[in-house]
Amino acid sequence: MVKNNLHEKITLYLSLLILSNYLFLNLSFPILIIKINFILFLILVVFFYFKNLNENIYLKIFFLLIILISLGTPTYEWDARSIWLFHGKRIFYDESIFSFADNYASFSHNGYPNLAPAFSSSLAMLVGYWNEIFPKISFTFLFLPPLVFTYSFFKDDKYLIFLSIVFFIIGKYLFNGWTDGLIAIYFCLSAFLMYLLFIKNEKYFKNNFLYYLIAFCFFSSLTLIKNEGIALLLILFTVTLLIKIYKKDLKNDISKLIVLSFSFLPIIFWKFFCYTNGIENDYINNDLLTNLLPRIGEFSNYKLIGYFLLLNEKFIISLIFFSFSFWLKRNKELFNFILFISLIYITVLFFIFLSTPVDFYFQLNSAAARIVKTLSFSLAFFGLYNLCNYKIKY
Amino acid sequence: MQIFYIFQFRSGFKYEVLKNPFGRDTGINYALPLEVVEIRDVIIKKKVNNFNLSEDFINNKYLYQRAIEFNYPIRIKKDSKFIFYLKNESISNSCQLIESGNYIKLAKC
Repeated sequence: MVKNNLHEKITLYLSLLILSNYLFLNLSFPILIIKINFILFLILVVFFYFKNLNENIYLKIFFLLIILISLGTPTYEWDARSIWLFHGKRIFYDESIFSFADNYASFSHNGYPNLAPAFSSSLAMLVGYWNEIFPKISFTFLFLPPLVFTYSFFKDDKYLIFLSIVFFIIGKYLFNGWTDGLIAIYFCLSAFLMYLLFIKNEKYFKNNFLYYLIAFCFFSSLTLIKNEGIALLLILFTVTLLIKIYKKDLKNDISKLIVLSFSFLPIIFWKFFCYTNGIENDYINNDLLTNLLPRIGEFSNYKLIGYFLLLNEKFIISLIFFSFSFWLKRNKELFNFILFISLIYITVLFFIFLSTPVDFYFQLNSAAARIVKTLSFSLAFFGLYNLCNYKIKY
Repeated sequence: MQIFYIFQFRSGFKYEVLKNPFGRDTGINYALPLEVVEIRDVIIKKKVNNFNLSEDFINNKYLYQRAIEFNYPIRIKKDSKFIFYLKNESISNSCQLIESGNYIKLAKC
């Protein structure tokens, strides 16, 4: 562990600047403040690069390469163009997140959370105009806080393995203007923080206020990246509460959990805004049962979801790695925590796919592989974390 | 290796784009259909404040969505006088052709 907590502090400041950018746009702060906020973010990134240049060099090189790839890649995929970067463009031109109240171009899902688009619009405000390439790199910048934070736990070769997992599972989602990669990494690190703060009884983490602040930032960010983040954070809280109740240990941590649950507030405000302006959610609406009921009784639907979701090659490799890791070094507490979360999330995904308003096969074919990245990444991450504490016996 | 694989096979990376990623029009020819780029050019040339799209445009979801998002902040409006048609589409009798490009045409109705 790095004693001076430098990486944790950088993580916290980066996360706070990302969230403050969103807050300033919500509160219609002057553009100058938003530009200064973004400049501070960039200064902090430069500070991270040049303070102890050789430390965490793998991340520094790879992150630079990803930024370069992003700057050389046109935005042409559907979600990136029609949803995320279009939202960013709208916030940039309208100078407000609330312009979505008019529900213009409803195909762009105006009710989706806007943390990443807000950040890309701020970069465009700083540059002074919008184009088809550079706003996308702000999505890549959002990966930085969790990637920097992880360095506190994996060093040198282990960090390189961690980065390999990131590239293997998240891959092009690091730079293509989609948010599925962000959800995967923010969820994984949120689950990790929940484990460190509430499940693993280690005083270093439990008594360190910095970790609670980072957790609060990651939790808020998770819900503000994509709708799935709300469900994922709810699952995290539910599983943690259940484990604490089972261990008869809830009394000691309930106040901290309640304070952390305030991280739901920004997304609650956003959803309330959408509700009052008649911006509907495509999935959770009055048609939910109409879509769900005809599909729920057919076994072939479950087979098809299982095929797309669970027979994904990256998910299978991650699952094998996770199982192998926990077979080598048994950590029942962590294993159960991850297992419960995964099972609940898979159940939620089955429910969501069964109630999809669009063509069932199309939805699975277009969404399952990227949605399951969240689970694949978490399984691989926790497999690696568990394995890092394993000592080979000769 | 992984970086190379992503860069080479999964990214859609274009060296030409990297040469000037902050250019105002960089990447549009890779990311957008020619019809939509031409709509933008005509909007600028004719100083159009809002526009509507023909039936053929609206029925083609890809062109429809790209035309809307790329041309923002110029908005699509149902009662707009300016309607964009595909090149091979016939214009309604009550409309007057005001611009004809390679892929689209603009009529005032």
